[in-house]
Amino acid sequence: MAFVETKLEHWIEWKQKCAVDLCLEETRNALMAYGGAQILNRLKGWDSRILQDLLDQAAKNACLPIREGWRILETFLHETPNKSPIRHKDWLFAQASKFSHLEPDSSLTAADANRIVPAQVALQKVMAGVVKTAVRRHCERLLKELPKTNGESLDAPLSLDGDEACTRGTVMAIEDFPDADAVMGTKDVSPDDAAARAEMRNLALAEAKALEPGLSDRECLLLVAHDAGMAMSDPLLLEAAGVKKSVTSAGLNGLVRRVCQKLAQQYSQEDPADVRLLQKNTLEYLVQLAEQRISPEIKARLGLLPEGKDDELF
Amino acid sequence: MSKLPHIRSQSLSPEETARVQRWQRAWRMHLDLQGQAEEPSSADPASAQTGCPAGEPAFRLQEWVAPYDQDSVAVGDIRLLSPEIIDERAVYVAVLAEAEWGMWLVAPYGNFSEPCAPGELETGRKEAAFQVLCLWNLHSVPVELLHRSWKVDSLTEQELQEAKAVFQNVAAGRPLPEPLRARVGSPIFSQFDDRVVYQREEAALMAPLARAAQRRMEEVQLAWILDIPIPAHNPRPTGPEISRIRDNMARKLTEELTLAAAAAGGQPYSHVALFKGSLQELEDWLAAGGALNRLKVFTASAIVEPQPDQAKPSKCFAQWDLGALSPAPAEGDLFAVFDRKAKRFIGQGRVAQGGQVGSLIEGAWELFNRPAFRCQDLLLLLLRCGP
Repeated sequence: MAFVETKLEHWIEWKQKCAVDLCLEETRNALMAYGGAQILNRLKGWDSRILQDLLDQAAKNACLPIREGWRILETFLHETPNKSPIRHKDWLFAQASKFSHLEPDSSLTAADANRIVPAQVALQKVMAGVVKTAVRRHCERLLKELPKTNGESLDAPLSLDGDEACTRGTVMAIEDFPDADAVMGTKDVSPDDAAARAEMRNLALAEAKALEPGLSDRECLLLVAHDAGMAMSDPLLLEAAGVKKSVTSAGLNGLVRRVCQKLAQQYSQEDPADVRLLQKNTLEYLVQLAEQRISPEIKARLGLLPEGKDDELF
Repeated sequence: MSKLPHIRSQSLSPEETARVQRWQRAWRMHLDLQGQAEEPSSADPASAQTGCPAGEPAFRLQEWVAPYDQDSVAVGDIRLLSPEIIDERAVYVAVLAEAEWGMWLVAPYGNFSEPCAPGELETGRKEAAFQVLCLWNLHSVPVELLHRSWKVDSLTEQELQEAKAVFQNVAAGRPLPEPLRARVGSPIFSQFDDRVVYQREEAALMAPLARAAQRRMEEVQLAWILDIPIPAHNPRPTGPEISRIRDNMARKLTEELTLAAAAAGGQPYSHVALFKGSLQELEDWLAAGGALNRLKVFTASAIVEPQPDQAKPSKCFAQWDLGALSPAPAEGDLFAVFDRKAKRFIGQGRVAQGGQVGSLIEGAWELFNRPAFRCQDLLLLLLRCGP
């Protein structure tokens, strides 16, 4: 979908009025085309059922899908049932104002030119992040409110052509998200099953040893960092892993699910509660094995080394 | 035949499992969206530098931002924190109670519509921003932090009571009233649960609140120790000010302190550096991304004798002989004590006896009493506000 340009005047008018419907036609068209397209694109790349719902709603309201897309965005931003000012808009403007690293009263030099980001560009940049959250919250609401109809597939693909094609190559339906058998919703409450527990630990160790060679170095790093209590957004971890936060979180998530699903398949005939305990034990052993693959230098950078020789000041 | 040993265990109920599953779907959606590339647009910095549409620079947007609601912080407020405090996403907080010394208890609203753990309460509100209140992530914050926020709504008395009940449950194990049980998240049984990952990220997101509280409590402690009035709140630096601090602070960081008798005779010693600025400026610098490892540190000798404070065993007493430093520190100069290994602030002290001695005025004994404690691990950062 083509990039839609907006003007600063559009954003200011929208900020000053409660909703885009109250704005001048030019503003309304420009912002809806921009924001609605962003929402649609995110939904198309994701879940056909939810996109279908949006298209149905648009048809029902006799309006364009982009209008429905914008409505999702404004609904997300709305903070109170009354018509008080939407402070989220002030947050957007304040956040976007930080994109030009210049003080308001500074005199501009030629060297500053590259540091200037036009206001409308900064606003669109900030809005792109808000769009992601708005889309997710909309999907969460639909998943909560819409009953699963009898026999209806939730992930029947839509036919999307040309510009309408999914921007991500594949359509991922919500139902494609692995279900929550990896919640590990079981805990050991037996104080005296020493023999059974030892047997479980032995099995878990064997499984961990079998799984460990399949772990990438980065996965080892994520496991060990998580076990040490680090957040996946920790700047030290991101630097050591050389990736963004979304990659670390998703990487750990993918690893845990892979291990859990593999064991769940392997022990599909067993009591699910016992399988969950095996999953948990196996992951704990995997941490120990993964730790052996992390170099002392990386551990030092993450602050994971025990007290020892350290001649550097920091 | 079963291959797995059977161990007596407790599992989530079907309702609890369903709740976790809904939360997990939201989490997976979140991860998926975060991983998606940005839309191709002229918002890319590269295109911003090469032929982007001309117009007002972004910082002019500040002119259209409503002033913060500074005058009327009150229990029951729902406030949107300035992006100067947290900029990753818009964070709304509920103001739950007023504490002493200008501190207020606040809890953030969550980023999902489903509560993730027993410390999260489904509020019943329809607005996306206020559907889940995260009592496990409660913080006490100085009022000046709330002065950089906009008031957007108020809690009802019932909402306040419910929040208090959930906090008492997670913090002190007090039984949760029956009607609330179905509105909180399910328990977490494993550290590998996605919800632990999420909680750590949320806790890290709120780090600026914890830092502001720590700074305020240090001011209060110092005022109490020195028997002076608790200082008035200072306005915090704004975004451009932080940039200025970040850019300029390196130049005024340190000047060399020469050593007359460096670590002679195997005496224990600590490192000393001079930071030409106030504690406030140091913290601003650290908050703006300044790293201690960029400080030029000068070898200097000092004797440290940490021992428990007789009156308060959890606290400790320590002194450094600063007489050998040149130029000599001034009476009353403050210094911050950092553990170089742990890379953290562990106490603060004040120069006394005409600049000859540095005395710890606040520090936890357990930090000094580690088995492998070495004086060399300590860095004393002398703070000098004057010329």
